[in-house]
Amino acid sequence: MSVQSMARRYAAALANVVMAHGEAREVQEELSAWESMMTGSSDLIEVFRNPTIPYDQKRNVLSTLVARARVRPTTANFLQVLLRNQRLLDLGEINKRFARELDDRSGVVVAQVTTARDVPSSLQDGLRERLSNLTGRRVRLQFTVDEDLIGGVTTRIGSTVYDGSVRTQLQQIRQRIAGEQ
Amino acid sequence: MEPIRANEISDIIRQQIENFETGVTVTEIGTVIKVGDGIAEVHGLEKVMAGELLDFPHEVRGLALNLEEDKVGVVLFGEFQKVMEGDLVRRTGRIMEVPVGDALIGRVVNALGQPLDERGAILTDTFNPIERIAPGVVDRQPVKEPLQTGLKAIDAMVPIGRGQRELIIGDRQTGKTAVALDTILNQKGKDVICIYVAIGQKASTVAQVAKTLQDNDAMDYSIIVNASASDPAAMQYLAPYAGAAIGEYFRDTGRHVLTIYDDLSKHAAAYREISLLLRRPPGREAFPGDVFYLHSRLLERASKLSDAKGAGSLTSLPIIETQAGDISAYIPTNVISITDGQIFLEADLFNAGIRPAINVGNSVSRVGGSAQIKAMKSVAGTLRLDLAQYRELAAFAQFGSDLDKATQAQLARGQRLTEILKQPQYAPMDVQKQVLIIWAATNGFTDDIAVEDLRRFETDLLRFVENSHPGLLHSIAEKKTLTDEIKNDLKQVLTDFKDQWGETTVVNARPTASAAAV
Repeated sequence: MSVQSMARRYAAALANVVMAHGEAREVQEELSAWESMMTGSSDLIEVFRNPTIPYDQKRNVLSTLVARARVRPTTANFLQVLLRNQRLLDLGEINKRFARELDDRSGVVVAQVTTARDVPSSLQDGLRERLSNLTGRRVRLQFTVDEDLIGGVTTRIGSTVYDGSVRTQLQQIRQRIAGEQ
Repeated sequence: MEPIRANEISDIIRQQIENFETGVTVTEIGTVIKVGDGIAEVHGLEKVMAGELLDFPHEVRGLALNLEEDKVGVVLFGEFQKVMEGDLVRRTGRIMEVPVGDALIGRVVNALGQPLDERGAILTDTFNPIERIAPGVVDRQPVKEPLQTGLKAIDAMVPIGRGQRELIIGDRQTGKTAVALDTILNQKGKDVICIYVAIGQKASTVAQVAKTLQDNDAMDYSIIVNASASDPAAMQYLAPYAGAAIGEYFRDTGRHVLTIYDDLSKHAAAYREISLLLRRPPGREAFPGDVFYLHSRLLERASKLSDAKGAGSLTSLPIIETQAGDISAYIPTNVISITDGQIFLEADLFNAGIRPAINVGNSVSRVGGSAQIKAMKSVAGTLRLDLAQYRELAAFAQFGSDLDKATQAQLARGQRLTEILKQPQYAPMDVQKQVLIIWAATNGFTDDIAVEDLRRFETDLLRFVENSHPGLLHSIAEKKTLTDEIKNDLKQVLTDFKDQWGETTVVNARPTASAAAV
């Protein structure tokens, strides 16, 4: 099974649990913190990756860390399940899926907005409103700056791209003039 | 040409820019996550359609074939080596299509309809989807008009009708392409547009075909769709569908089309390659499960449309190459069962000098008989019977020479009929001439002529009739049936000719002539 479909299943299962307990945000934060701790420590990754270390030892390491970090029981249990199923190293992918799953369930879409310059916050609200009208859902904006666009704005929601950048318009003009003659 | 000033040019460009409407373009994109062997896996593109055309960077195009839960499997056309992981892929919203129209006639194009000859762009604004469901039962009518191949053996015994699918099958080097080419050459002036689709052929072979067609003025009504061996498997897979789509345009506008798929064994191999790379499960001979449908949906597009639909027709001559005469391999059996008959070519016959090397016993045409003109039908009936008896006797006659007279006569007749059915390449013959020759042979007018003199007899006879009795050929072509009057004329003409021909033979003092006869 591909990593993506595996991640989707774990994310959906976890989402079911946390929605029932009403602790979605907390668990999500704890898991991201855990992920950054793991990526920050190569020793820790080595311990979990190394197949010559017996499962019991790995579990002890994880239990100690969990006790030390004082995470919620849901988070701790989830990590233990991942360890037992040898999926702990795929936590990054699962976290990404989990965030999207939570967004889907609460009716939020993520829009990646790319502009040539920083967008002032007054414009951000207007953009958010227009995008929610367009999609019919609440929109969370993520901004990136790419000077190659020259001007204008491109927005990507899921796999749909709304491209209003000057760069694309120039390309279209070029195609039109070069293509017709 | 009138000179154009520089500021005029900039004016035109300025106009273009001023008229340019700024707006937001909405596209759907995906990202390449894996690429190799002409196949790409793309993440995203959630709403993509099966068979949709996709835009990759560097002018590479792709065709979405596998729609999976979180990725799309795409086959790539063009220089797919330039596509890299992480590249953006755009939807075009169009199902794969090819340009069609009269502008294509006389052109050599690839599977995407792009020109391969150096004669400029193909100016047409009509497009047909490459995959199209074949016309239904109501839109069709039975095959009724003949499609003359110009080959005596085929037109007499395995007749092909407009709208039929007739398989040409045989080993390598048995003259399969030659049969197809002769058929194209014979369509000159018969309002049939011929589309030759080369799949996985050597580019040199295709160049040869193009030259032959050009030399015989056949390119005026022909189109070549070429996906040669050096093209990616995806192109070879698409080529016959593109050819069919181009043909359907003419068919739907009430014209007659002949498509030749040369050959479908290589097409199946190309599809197997794509399928295996897309990780579809392999079946018999490693072909995927839908290889039957691959060919049946293609050949089902051959049709004779009803009068309400314009009465156009699309005839298909698929070609299959067998290995050592094995027609029970997977692809040959499939295509034999799909088509309305087959022309079976044999290496043994070819080497014995019987060309076209058609095995008359194994070749059949299931619907063409109703398309044959009456005159041909009447002479072909006797021909078929005589040849069948000859084949049976010939096997026995090898054991001894002590044969009674009737048997000897039958053997002699068979030898002469076999000789009469031989025909040189690129020399298609009109149906009325075929009728004349076959009538002469089946009615015993050739029995007293030595087998080795028959070819000369045939050419001399045809020249004699053309020069001295052109009315006879005309009346056969017009009445399309052998009336008693025409039969009497035939008898008279043949007797006259034989008297004269016999004399010239004696004058030439050919030692082999009548001495060897009977």
